[in-house]
Amino acid sequence: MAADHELRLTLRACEELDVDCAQSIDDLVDEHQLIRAFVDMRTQQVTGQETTQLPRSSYVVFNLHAGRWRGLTWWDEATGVVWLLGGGFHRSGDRSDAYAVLKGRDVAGELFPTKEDYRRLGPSTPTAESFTKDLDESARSFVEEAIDEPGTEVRRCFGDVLDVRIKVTEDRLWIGLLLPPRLSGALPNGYHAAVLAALLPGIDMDEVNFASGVFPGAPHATFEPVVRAPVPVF
Amino acid sequence: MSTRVVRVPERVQQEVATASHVLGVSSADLLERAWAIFRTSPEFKEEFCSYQRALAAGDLEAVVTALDQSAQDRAEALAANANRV
Repeated sequence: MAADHELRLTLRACEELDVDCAQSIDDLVDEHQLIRAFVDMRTQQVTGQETTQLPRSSYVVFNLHAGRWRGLTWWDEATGVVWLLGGGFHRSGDRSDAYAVLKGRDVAGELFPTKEDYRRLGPSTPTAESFTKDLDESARSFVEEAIDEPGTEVRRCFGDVLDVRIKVTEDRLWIGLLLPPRLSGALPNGYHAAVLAALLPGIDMDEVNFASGVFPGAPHATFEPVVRAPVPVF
Repeated sequence: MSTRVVRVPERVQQEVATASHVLGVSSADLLERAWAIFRTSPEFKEEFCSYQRALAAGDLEAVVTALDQSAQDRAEALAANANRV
């Protein structure tokens, strides 16, 4: 799969294709010929050749063919995911034709990913628990390591979710939040706030400088939110 | 003026470049603006303080609950955007 996008089925698509939504796309690829086509056709290219004009929504969706099966895919730029929105048999001119059914879903506002689809894309409760546990157990020693070695960059990944680097220079602690996060989709804002809160105990938000420019002494491989704050006292 | 190198998919980069031209700033500055808007929001400050208090008190359950709520809020916003007409 190309590094900059991911393939997913909506819950409705899983129902229509009668596959287990708990399984990953890699596990599902041999379960259904439409999913095989989805992986083959959208792994390298997030869009297709042939579009379907939807009656209600203005998004561009692309047709997918596999034998008599038809489906619609949508490139969701906000999360970097190509969704398989649904599928069914091609029955030209019939009301039960896959495209007719999927257009009907669009009219009903039931074609695109739901809140539950996006919830499954984001961090789960066990992920939140392991992230929190890691913050609680490791944030202090992480900062203390940087305090003990001023001018040295120290890195850590919290909860297997968010990579962070820190450095102490003079009386300031620099924090770089390395993007993108290790999770697919978009990391909820709370994760950034939580990691900063764990690294800056007792520091007043008004003393935190967010527009501080480049992380000191290190080239930027990607855009990186950088924070500069007073060094916390433990 | 930022000197940051930004590596993003080509299509996204083109869109960012277009937005940058509209605003008359570099793409790196545009991303920095987005970060600045995010961190100066009252919601972010409230979240930061809330997590600080919970972690100081050792109330990890409160942290997990807030992170879950953050994920729910993000999912709701994404779904609303996906289903807009």
